[in-house]
Amino acid sequence: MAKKEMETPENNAQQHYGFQASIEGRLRFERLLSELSTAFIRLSGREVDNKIQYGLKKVVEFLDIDASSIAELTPDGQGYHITHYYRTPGYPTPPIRSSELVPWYTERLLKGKIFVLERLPDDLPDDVPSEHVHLMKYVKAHLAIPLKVGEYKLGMIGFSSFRKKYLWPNELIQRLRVIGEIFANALERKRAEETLKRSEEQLRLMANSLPALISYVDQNQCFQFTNNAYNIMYGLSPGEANGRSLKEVLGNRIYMPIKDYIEQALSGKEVSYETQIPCDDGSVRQIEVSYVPHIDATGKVIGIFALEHDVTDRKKAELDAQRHRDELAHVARVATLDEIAASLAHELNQPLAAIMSNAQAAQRFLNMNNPDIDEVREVLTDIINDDRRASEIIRRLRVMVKKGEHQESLFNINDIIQEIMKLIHSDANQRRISISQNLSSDLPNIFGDRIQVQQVVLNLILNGFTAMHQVEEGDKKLTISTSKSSPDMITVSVKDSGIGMDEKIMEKMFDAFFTTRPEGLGMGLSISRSILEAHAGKIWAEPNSDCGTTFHFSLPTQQENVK
Amino acid sequence: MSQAEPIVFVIDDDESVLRALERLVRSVGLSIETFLSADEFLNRELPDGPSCLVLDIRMPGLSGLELQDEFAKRGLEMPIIFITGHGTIPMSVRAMKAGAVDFIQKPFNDQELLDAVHKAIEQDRAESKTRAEILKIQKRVDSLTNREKEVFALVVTGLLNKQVAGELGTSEKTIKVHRARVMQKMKADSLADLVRMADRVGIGPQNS
Repeated sequence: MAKKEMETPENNAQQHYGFQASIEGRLRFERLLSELSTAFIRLSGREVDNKIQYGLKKVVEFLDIDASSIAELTPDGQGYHITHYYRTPGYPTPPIRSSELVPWYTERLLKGKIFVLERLPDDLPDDVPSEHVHLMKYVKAHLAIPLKVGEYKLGMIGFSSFRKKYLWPNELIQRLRVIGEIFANALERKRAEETLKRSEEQLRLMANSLPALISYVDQNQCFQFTNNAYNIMYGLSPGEANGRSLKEVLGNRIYMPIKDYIEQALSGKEVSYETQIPCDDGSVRQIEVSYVPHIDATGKVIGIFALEHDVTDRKKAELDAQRHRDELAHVARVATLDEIAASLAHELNQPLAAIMSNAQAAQRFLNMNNPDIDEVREVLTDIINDDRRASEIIRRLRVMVKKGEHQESLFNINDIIQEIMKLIHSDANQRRISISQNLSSDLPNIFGDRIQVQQVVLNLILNGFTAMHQVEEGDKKLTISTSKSSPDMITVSVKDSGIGMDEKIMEKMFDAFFTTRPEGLGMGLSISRSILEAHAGKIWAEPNSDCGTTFHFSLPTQQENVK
Repeated sequence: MSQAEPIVFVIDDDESVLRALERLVRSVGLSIETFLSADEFLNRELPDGPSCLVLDIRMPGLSGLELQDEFAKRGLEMPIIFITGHGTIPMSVRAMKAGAVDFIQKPFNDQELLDAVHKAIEQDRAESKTRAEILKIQKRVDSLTNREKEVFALVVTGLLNKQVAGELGTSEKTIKVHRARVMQKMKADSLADLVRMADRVGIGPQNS
């Protein structure tokens, strides 16, 4: 400005200190402000730092000062850490970096006060220790403004003049505060972006480390995300599927069977199902799939989260366990039948003896002078019936002993019990055990493996027999009852009048290989329990109030109209 | 009495077997009665004529072996033939030791059973005869007085009258009188006869 201007003390000061309060000056400052404020629009996080650097330079040059810096609040909120600075070339970098050295400085800022130093070192506050005065010797003037974004304290912005003292009028301070806020907002946005990116990155890392197959498709059935496991299963390179449709990526063979499920999920329903995926090596993997619709705030479905598990191995393990159980059950059945082999032989011998005697009697009749043909006919009828009887026993034996796979069918529990009765009634006779049956009529059917359930009944009955071994004859009673214990459950009870069991035995009796008999295998009850569990049933025992024990087991019934 | 019709009794808890056995036995002209359990049979009166019992060891209620014991208890003497669908050696040994005629496994050959039945019937016939005889002798013995019984017992040991008198502390003459009465009541023709009869009813040296 020309020296012609009136030399007011203010003017003098301004001239002396470098800031022009003239209209032109103001206009120029407004332009700087608007330039800076638009500079940060649409910038990515990385670019923000550069721009701030540029902005600080512009301000320093505009004000004709020598340095400006931005410091952010440390995580503990007790000090500042310089993150951006500009100084005119030729001046050393700030000697003061750490805020710990100048507590009197940071204290004021932390309280939200603006630090104004126009004539250093004269206007240094009294509480500044003398050694710090030395640190400030390069600085002739300084302004420090705390930066906030809303209520959130971000840090501070500082301006320094090394060459000369400087005045900081209030108007200037307010404008510099606005510039500070522009920088602060830009920094805050950058931080938010970084945080978001970090959490996206974390999610991605997590998704990729899970063995489950995770994918996300939008409402147009286009992939937006697939994790590593998914890529591997479907032979995709990372990101290859993004933007492409399910149908295109998976191919018709895989897509067509699941099309309906996708559509259901897109209509807002959670869907679960199992499917098979053919693999490159020719094998087929069994996959369990769950779709969770992604619903936005308005209630509209905008995509589907898909979670898939390769259960091929689990299924195989289940099958193996089933097979193992069946084998064990078979072994136990054979062992059980061994116990009643003698009785079975007797059962067979009856019809055989009758057949033999009948046939021989018939021969003798025919040798008589006037053979009674009608009588011979009767004999033949009896022979046929007895033969059927013997065949029935053999057939039942065969069925029990057969290895065979788990076979499921609908059957009535009372029928099973009657069949068992035929097998063991002679054994019961020999042991002098009286058996009474209390079978409820109209029981609904059970769906399951008939042979195995029969095995359970046989096992419980034979256990009951053993329990009554030492009991007085005449007191040996076994009662079998069936009843509908609830709308969808049937309970079978086998009650003996034996010696009963003490608590210790009752705790362990369902364990494998636990037996109280010297010749026992100890498999019966544990296999029985395993069979019942496979049928979603239960087995338990109670001591009777008088003597002996009652074993109960329950089985779910099959509703007629369920497939 | 022993000319009455022989009867075969059969006990088995299996109806088919009973029916078949009935036919078999009838086919050789014998009478037969069948029972489903030992209890049923025990309710029937004993027959007059010779008879035998065919029964299964394994039955509900009273078992074959127990029936055999029951017979012994009641002093019944009917020959028993055991038939069984399942016999163990100890079982068969016990049965035979207790006096069974035979122990046959099912299914059996018809001749095997019929032979056993015939044998049993004959055995019963013979035993009845013996039983009848013994009964007769026993009746005679019961008609003796106490003194006569004593004399009888000593005479059949081969003692002379004089020795018997010495044993009992009476005179020889008294003994002679007693002896004559014994011979008369016992209807013995000779001393040998008397001794035989004594044997039959268990009176003898080992019993004095």
